[in-house]
Amino acid sequence: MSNNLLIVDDDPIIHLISKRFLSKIGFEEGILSFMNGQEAMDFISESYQNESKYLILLDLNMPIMNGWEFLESMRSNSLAQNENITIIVVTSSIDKEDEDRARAYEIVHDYLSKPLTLEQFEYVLEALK
Amino acid sequence: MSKDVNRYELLVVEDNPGDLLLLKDFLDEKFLMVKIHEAINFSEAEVLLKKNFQLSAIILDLNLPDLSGSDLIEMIQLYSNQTPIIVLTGYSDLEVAKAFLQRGVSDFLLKDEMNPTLLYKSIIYSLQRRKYIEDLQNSQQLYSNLFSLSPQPMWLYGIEDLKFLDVNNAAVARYGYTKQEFLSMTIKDIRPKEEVPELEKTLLKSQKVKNREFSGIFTHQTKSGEILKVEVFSNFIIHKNKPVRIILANDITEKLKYLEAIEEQNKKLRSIAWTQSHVIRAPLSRIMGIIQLIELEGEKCADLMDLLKSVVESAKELDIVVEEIANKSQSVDPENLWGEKIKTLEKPDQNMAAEDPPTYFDDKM
Repeated sequence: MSNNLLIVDDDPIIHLISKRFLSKIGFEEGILSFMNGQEAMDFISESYQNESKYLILLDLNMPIMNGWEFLESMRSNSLAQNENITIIVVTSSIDKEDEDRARAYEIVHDYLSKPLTLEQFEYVLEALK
Repeated sequence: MSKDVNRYELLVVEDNPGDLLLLKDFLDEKFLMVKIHEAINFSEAEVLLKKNFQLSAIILDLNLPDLSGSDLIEMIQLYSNQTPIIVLTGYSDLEVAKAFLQRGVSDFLLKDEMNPTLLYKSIIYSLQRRKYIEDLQNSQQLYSNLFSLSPQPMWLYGIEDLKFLDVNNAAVARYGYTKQEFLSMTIKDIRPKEEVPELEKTLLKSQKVKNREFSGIFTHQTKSGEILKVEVFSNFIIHKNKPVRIILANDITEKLKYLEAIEEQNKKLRSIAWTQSHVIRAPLSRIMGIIQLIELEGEKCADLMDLLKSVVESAKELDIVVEEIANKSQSVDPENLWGEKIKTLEKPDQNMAAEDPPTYFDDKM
């Protein structure tokens, strides 16, 4: 059994910052970076293991497959029912409409605005416990 | 009985001096302030009538030396301008006097039976009656004006044959047909041809709500072919024993154009708001994240210079976005509201923030 933290974001700096923050709070293993929804979707479809937990920090605005398309794709995927997969939307958008729309997905555990603070990283890791 | 204290001005036309004296006595007995103009024949009466006194009533002997009977009545009526006329007569003229009542004479009194109270009552009743008639005429005029002089187009049409029964001046002005033309048309004739089936559906619907108001927005066409968007209010009434609908048609063509222009502006403003919350927030959140990281790591931060470089990159990106917003805001110009169709602003693109991903860290992490 392993814990996987999937960071899905097209901004490399976000990946860099996230990793450094996570490292500060002692979380270094199992961080996976994806530049768009499609990459993350491919990974989950191919590598999903029953015993493992998956926390997905999902950006909304991305090329190829954006966060919305990813959420739609997950909804139609049988994996979406799996309790081991948690999605937290992490976006630079502060649009209330976006938040309401994201929270309407059952699979979306929370909606946070970028940049995440150290406390927020600690909070999101709760999902992997 | 105390005297009537109101002011009255009467014209008494009587050729018999005895009767005239008696009349004046009777009047003095009942009225405190009565001004009496006297005439002993029609020519004198005519002179006085031409002076346009504010007469309360005319008391008229039916037989004068120079004119009598119906000729006299007709002549007096020519000048009287709705002033009540009370005719004095003998038994012999009773039938004739009755006929005058139908021709606008207020009352007739038999000379032999006249007394102060009877005369007083007759004058007061006549005045009251004239007041009622005036009120009624005013009220009729008022309602007629409400229809014909209404600034909004109005008309009546027969429910069965859909023919226009009456149209007001505003309808004539707005639709370009004369009243005569309207009256030979049906309500289908002020619709573009393609709207007629829709009208027929609406008519079926409105028949079901026969006793109630009905409203909706419809497309009409003027004589010159101009297309109008009109908000129609209608109600069912009985007019001259026929079931008709009264229509008030409020031309909202300009209003709709105005709303469309406002909607265009709103689209732009929404697009600006979208940019604020998405595109600006992207580099900004990156800058804030980097600063947080530098704060967190302090002196131990190995790649401080690299991180600062990416702050600068993000700041430049932010600068460009702010400039774009400024340009967009300038195009939200109220003068465009009535101008030609405002150029459509591109819809907010969900991937807008992702078009130019930052390039500083290009290694896949």
